[in-house]
Amino acid sequence: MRNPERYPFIVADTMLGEASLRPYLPLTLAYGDESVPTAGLLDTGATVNVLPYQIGVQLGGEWEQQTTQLRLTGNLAQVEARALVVSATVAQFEPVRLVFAWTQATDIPLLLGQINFFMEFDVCFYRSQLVFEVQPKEVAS
Amino acid sequence: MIQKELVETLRALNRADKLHVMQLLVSELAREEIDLIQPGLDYPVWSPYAAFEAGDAMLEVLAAEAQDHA
Repeated sequence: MRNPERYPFIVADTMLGEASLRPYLPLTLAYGDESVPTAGLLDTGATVNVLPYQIGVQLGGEWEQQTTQLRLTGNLAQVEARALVVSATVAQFEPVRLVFAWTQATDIPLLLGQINFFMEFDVCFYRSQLVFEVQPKEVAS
Repeated sequence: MIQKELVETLRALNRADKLHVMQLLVSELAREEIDLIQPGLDYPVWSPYAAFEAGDAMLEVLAAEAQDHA
């Protein structure tokens, strides 16, 4: 069993201080020959992973080639989204395939949700200590 | 950044005035917290809560992609 990686909560707005602390996970996304180092918000309430439009473009994704259209909820329901599968690497762990709802929205964080980030990684939040730990799921032998 | 003069002024206060300043600051902070969310305004919630249809479609895409790479 691998040791989990530990990360601090990040202040998203210095004016708000502790009220704005968020669990952002650094990770590298890859698609084709392109890779983009970024950070995703661990969002246990999100049904799906969400990829902001500009990161998909940086990865070389071509909107018209993604044929699976998705209907999201909340504020994202107003914006078109399509499925995009990319490779994601967290810390020194093996890369995993993550499927994203690639949205045309640009003013949102990259969201890591139940499908399928939390299907691939076990996460433990220690909010009182302002840290969280991440490790790949255990594969039954 | 707190000015050095301000800290010295606060330190020079008597006990009652220090308590008064403390209460004033606590009240101010509490009011600012309330002011973060204004009544009658919309605040975006980007989290796609209960997007089960999208989730199901995405799992199908993932499974198809895994088969292509198998």
